[in-house]
Formats: sequence, structure tokens, C-alpha cells
Amino acid sequence: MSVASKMVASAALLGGLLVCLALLARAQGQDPAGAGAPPAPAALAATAGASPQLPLVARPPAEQPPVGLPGDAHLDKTPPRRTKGLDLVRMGWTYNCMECHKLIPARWHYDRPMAEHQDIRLEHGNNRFCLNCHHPTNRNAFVDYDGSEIAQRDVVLLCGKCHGPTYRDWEAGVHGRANGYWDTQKGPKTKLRCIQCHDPHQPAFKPMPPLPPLRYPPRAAHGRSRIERPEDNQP
Amino acid sequence: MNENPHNSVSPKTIEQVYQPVTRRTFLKGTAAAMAGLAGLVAALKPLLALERGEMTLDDLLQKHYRELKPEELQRILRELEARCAREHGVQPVIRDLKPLPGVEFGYALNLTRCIGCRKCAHACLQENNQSRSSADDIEMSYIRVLELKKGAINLEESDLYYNPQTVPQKDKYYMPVQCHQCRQAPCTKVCPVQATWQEADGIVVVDYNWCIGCRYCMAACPYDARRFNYRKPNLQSARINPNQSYLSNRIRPKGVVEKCTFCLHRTRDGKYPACLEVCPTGARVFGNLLDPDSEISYILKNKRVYILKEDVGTLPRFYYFFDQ
Repeated sequence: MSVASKMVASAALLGGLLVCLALLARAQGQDPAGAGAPPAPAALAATAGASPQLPLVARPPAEQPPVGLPGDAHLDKTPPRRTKGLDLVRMGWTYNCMECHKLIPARWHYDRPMAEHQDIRLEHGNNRFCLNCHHPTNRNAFVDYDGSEIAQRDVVLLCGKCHGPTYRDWEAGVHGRANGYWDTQKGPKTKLRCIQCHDPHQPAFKPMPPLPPLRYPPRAAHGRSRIERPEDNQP
Repeated sequence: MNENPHNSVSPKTIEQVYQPVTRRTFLKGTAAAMAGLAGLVAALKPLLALERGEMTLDDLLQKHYRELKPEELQRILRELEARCAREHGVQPVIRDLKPLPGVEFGYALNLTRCIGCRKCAHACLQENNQSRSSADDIEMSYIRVLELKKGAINLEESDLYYNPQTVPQKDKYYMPVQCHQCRQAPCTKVCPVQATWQEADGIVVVDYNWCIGCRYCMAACPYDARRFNYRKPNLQSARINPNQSYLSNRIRPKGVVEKCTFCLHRTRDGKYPACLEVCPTGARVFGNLLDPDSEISYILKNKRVYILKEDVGTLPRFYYFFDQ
């Protein structure tokens, strides 16, 4: 009797372990950061309002494929956003936020330092509240006005909640990077989305070092024929 | 005999009648002959290049681009490719792209977004085969990024050689200036040999093989958008862009004027120009003015647009606009 109960218990334990493994595998299969797999057509078709040829943005911008055409390798087309990745991601976690947050509920942070995500500093103007953008229960999604979910790849719709004129310009192709072909009959045009250039937590561009000045003929240079160097001022 | 004073003829001297060669006339004539001879030698000087094998008889007798038959043009393109391969060690593809029907190019630049990083000017060097390897040489970038004080558009106080640690500086804004592809282009009107003209899609081009290097067009341009090849281009072969075209970025000879062509070897292929491709802030917008749904049409309809030196009446196809 006791032997049988022990066998049942161990079988249940083994079964539980298998289920856990399967769940883990499923979670990793769904992980959008994984392996750069091409997006499923169904997922793209479900995208509302976004052009289907846009790449998924679930990967951090540092791992995004290069923008523009492969033949233009001589041109430096890196967007201005430089990301180091979240601390947690560098520790080996993925961008599937629900790995942790299915256990850890949302807390209503407002204007106070967070105990977790210490690397995130929120400098987004008047927008000082995590759950203005992040969904309270599904941390892989963003939140709309009515509490419904905005998928990560539709992040443009989230930003458009407040930045209406900018969203309108982006739709028209006037705000933000465009690369590739202006004539869409001849080839694809890639448009970058908000968070591929702007860090959503600190959306203002960081000042960047300029490339060195070029040398111009005197007339075009308003009489200055060359770059003034510090030694020029010495007698 | 009474002499009629009205009939009186003063006798001419023998010198006045025969005009013999004096020292003065001899020197005059010699000087004129020397000047004429010098002019003849100068006019025939290209033949020396022919003699040395630097150019062929076909080069010398080549017609204007717009008078070339297609097969003649193809032969010239192949010769230019061979010359580039011989002199620079890179085999390019030199094409002749014609204007697309129903297309007129326009360019707009967002002064609110431009941060003055100069990526466009450097990309222009690489795309258009202007990289000069000598540190003393003038770089030929068609784009000048001007740093201006906020509050006014005062080009006279602009700084071309700004070089702070980081851009943008707080009280400054940045205005890249390049060829405006004017509808009333003064540069094409002053050319004595019609080596520069406006194409059907609005791009002002130069036939480098027809240009005589007089630089009238540079004097006429109100935007300082043209550059002169004072020297033979000194290019590193690793930095040569093999995608070339006859009217835009093929390697130019010494002594001709060149200019921005909106990268017509790219844009007539449907691609964006190189300066737009690299702009990190997306301040540059390019498109077809004749297409009411294009990006450039959206800007002309919806934005506050500024035209640089509008008062000179050149009607540019290059617009500046503001977001805020």
C-alpha cells in the first residue's frame, strides 16, 4: 500500500515537472526576443493600423536589424537610440515581462524611486506614472484609454494617445526615419517606430558629438577658408 | 593764278601715303602676332593631352550630352568605366538614368529637428565619390551645415566650422544648405556653353565632359551650392562608390564644376538620397511634388514652410519647415 502511494506521488511529481517544462518551453517559444525568428503571418495580420512590413519592435533596439538597404553599407544609418538593455535582461532574463510579473503584481508607482527596475529613470515630462503606458495586468502589453491592451508592436498607437500631431505626421511619413525607397512601387520603405529612436522613459534625444567639420572653398565658407585651430591664435 | 581756297589740297607726306613699317608699327604687329600665336597654342593645348594618350579623339570630339545618340552614350559610359577601373582600381557601374515621367522632386528639411550632427554632409562625400585623401585639399561636400543663433535667420552670423563637444547647443539651431534645384535657376542661365541645365524632373545637372570650368555658375548661385574641381580627385579606392551615373556621381575630371543632384543615381531608381538615409532625427523629407499623397506634398499643405532667400526669385524645390 505504502509502496503504491509512493509510486503515485512520484508519478504526480514527474508529471508536474513535465508540465512545468512544457510551460517553460512554450513561454520561451512565445518569447519575442528569441532568436530573431520571422514574425508569424497571423500575428502581423492581426496588427491593427500598422503597415505589415514593419519589423517587430519587441526586440530591444540594440538588436534590431539594420535599417535601409543592404547595398548602402557605406552609409551610417544607425538610429540615435543607444540602449544597453534592461539590467534584468543582462542578467539573463528575456523581454517577456510576464515571466516575473505573473507572480509579482503591478504596484502603483507615482513619482517615487522604484525598488525594482533600478536602471529605469522616468523623465518623460508630465508623464510620471508607469501605468499610464504599461498595462496593469499584462506587462507584455501597453494600455489604452479604456484599459484594453495595446500590443507591443503597436506602440505607435500608445504614443499617439498623447502625441496626436506627431502621430499624424508619422502616419504621413513626415516625422521620424524613413529608409529605402520613396517610390513604393519599386521597393520597400522602412519606417522606424517611436521607441526605435526614442527611449520611452527618457524620450528627449541625448546630445551627440558632431562629425568633424569639412573644408569648404572660401566663398562658400563666408570668407573663412579653413578650420581655425587653437594654434592659429598664437603669435 | 588765283587758287580756289576750296580746292586746296594739302600735300600728303610720303609716309602718309605709303605707311611704311616703322619701329612702332613693327613692335605692334609683333605683339599682336605673338598674342595670336599664344591664343592658338592655348586653343590647341587639348591636342597635347591627345598626344600623351590622356584622352582619345572620341573624347575630344564628344558631343553635348543631349545630342548624343544612345549607342554613342553607351560607348562613352563603358569607356568611363574602363578609365575608372584603370586609374582607381575599382570597377564601377556607370548608368545613364533618365527622368521618370510624372515625377518632380522636392526636398524639405525640418529646422526644428535638425541637430547639426553633420552626418548628411559626410554621407554626401561617400556617396558622391568626393572623399579626398589629402588633408590640405578642399572637401567637396555639397551640404554646408550652418549653426545659427536662435531667434532669427541671420546667415551672416552663421558658423560653418562649429565643433562643440555635443550638438545641439542650447541657444543654437542648425540649417543644412545644399542645391535648391531652383525652377528659375540662375546657374543654368549664365552658362556660356549650356553645360548645365534643368532636367524634366527638376534636377539641375552638369555635363562634366562639356563644362569648360569658367565658374560663372558658381558666381550666379545664391546658395553657394556648386563646387569646382581645382585638382584631380584624389580618392582612396576603398571609398569609391561603384554605383555611379553619368550626370551625378561618376568621378569628375579636373577643372569642372559639380553640384548636388539629389543623388539622381539613387532617386531615379526610386530610392531616397544618401543624406536622407543617414539623418538620425528624420529631419529630411523627400518625395514627388506632383503626387498629392507624397510626404513632400503633405508638408507643403500642412506645415509652416520657409524658403531660403525667397526674395532672389529662384523658386527653389528645397523647403525648410518648422514643427513648433
